[in-house]
Amino acid sequence: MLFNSLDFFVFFIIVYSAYLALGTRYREQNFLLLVGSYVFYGWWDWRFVPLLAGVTALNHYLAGRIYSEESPAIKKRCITISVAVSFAILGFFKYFNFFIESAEQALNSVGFHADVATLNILLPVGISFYTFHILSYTIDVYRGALKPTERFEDFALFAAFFPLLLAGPIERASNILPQITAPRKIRPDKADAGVFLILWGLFKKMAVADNMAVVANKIFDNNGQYHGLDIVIGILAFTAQIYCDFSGYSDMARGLARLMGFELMLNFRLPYFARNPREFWQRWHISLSTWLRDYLYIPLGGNRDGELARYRNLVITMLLCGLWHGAAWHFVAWGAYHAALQVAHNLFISARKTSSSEAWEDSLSRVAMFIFVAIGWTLFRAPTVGQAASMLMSAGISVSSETLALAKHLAFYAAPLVIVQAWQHLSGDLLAPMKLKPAKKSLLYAFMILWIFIFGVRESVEFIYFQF
Amino acid sequence: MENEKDKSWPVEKLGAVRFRDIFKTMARTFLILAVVNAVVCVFLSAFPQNRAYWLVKEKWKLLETREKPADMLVLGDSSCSMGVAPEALRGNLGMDALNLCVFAGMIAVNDAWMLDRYIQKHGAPKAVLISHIYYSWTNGPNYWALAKVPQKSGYWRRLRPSLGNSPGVTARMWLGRYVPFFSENKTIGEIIKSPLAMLSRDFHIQQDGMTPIEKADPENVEADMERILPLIKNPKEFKISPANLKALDAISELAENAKFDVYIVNSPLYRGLAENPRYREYFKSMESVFVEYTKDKKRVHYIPGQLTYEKNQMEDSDHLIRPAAFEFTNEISQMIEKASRDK
Repeated sequence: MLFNSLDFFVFFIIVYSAYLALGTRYREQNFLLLVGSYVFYGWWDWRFVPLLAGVTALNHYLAGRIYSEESPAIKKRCITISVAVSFAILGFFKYFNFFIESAEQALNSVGFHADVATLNILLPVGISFYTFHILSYTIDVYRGALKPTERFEDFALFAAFFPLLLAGPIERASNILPQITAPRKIRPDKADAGVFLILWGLFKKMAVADNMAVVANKIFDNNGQYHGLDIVIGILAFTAQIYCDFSGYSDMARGLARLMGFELMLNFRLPYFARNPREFWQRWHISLSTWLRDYLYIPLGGNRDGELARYRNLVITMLLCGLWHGAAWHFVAWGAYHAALQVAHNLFISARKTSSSEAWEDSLSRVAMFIFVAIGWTLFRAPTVGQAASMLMSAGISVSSETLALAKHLAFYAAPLVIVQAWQHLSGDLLAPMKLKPAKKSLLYAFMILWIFIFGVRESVEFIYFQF
Repeated sequence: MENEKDKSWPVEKLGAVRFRDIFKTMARTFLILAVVNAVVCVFLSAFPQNRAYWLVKEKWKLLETREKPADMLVLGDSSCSMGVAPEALRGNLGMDALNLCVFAGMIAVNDAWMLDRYIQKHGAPKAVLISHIYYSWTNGPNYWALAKVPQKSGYWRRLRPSLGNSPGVTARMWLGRYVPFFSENKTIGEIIKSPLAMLSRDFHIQQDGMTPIEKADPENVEADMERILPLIKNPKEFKISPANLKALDAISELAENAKFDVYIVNSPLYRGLAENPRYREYFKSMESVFVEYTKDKKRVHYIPGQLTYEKNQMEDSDHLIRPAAFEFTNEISQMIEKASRDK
């Protein structure tokens, strides 16, 4: 069930009412949330519930062994099994056909006739998220940064916690487990922020992202018929769509968690205001970028072994980041593109060696970075690198009979987003809109709810990131 | 991706707030929503901006305010609202007819309700003519549309066939009637985007209920055909939906009790669509279902056959312009006369 569906609304009312009724009995609350989370996941496809349960049980057992065993060899064996099995499962469900088809194409291109069978594999929803989620636990236990949980149900709740199960944020056990294993207090300031985040998240998803999708899909799915400004509008529409879709979901997840006294990590920090590639990745999908930094980039060596090694590690990390998003070469190309941006930026700023900038330079950097990011999204959205290249080459300023209508659609639905984001940026406060005086705050909330009802795309369109 | 200290980046700054303040904000928000909703609800009831809902309001008003009982009621969807001319029925059959056709979303449930209400108010007519586009017969009830009937609340339980008393139905009917932001969101959206368009609203209805169209739109006829052909999911299998079946049963019972005849005819159709092989197969299946349904009914008669027209006679694939509507009405009048003689 999607967050913006009636099913979820009813589900949450029931679970939340029971949760509040339990007061400070956190163990009972945890059990309620665990059952609720499995019901939530099973609602999508009950066949994958055993998979989640199995991965959870295996990693809990292995983390326990890692902690209790004294022999480093056994510890290493356990962590290797945890990582290998988790990635094998992820690899099988997500990448099996991709690798088989790519190998077949490679063999055919050098003259070997290959006709390999692919499997009709259903992708378990959220597998990329909960795999990373669970691995953060076993790896942190292995590193000695975390003690394993005493109670299996606490870890099971961490692994399956419904607000973040399907599309993140990719939480760390070190952040969530202490909140699970102790009584939680629902603070009024956080609950207030939670209400705002849920509403703003719903707004971004239903009123902005789903309407942007109308234009983006039209342009990208029929790109041969469009050129010039129409292509630019399509790219901008997708740029808004993917941000609102994903950050909207994250906001809702964080808002729901706050209503229950949980604090999830911030996942988006106005990424389209980034001034350079490095800053972009510190604002966009922060939970993924920090996960890759801590569990891939730094173990590879980070920036400890000189410039060349640093760039190599950066490129590997970004390529795998791209691959994480989807089993297709255009996602890898998108990762490579961002790797190239980061390498170029590092080379450029090390050449410049200045730390201060004028306001106009800041603004120019933000605009330039936004354009670079939008170009990257073309690679991400187009089904092939070839189509992305063709679209980028035909983008321009020429107009068609549809340009005005497309531009009006884009401007109309993006306007509230732009206004709020500018407000958040200029005030330095992501919760700025809820700081209005009470009457104005209520007016704003009423406006957002009405806007969602009037312009929200009514049938639940799947969040983009659920395919990851 | 090395670590970098946050400098002037936006953060989440929590406010000093009490639970009481949250509840007050929510209460104020709901109050604003309720007031705005009420204003919009009253406005749209008085001045419907959605053509389909306007049609429902006007047709029910005709039913309620009719002074002299009609000999024949014409019920169905927009294809007969535009396609059946009561004037021609009077000329051919000598019957004073009232066109109460609305739109496809209301399915035959609205036909039954109108007939039930008409009989309560004016007594039974001499005959009833029902015409629907083919896909209307297979659809379930559209509660948002059925909620627009301007009768006292609860009519969906009182009129036959009853939609029932379940919480789901009641919730949908109430939402459809009293929460336009839910049930007429597209209309409201259009008003916000083009407020001046309200001033150039062009809805017309004749005193006999017909809503004729004057101008053909051949391009739209083709485009509409492409849109509605995919609605045929399985050409070999036509099935009247349970809601429509209940409505037909209610109509049949009313006809039996009050001793008047009901004639079911197929809506006029664009020739290109009618000749499509997929449609032809589906139409055969549809005809056999109606023949089967009416075979044991004394008062309900199915008039077989599909009358087709060229795109320069139509606004879309089932909406005729005025001259063609008269042609259609003349033809079905003859079919009705023949059916009356043969029964």
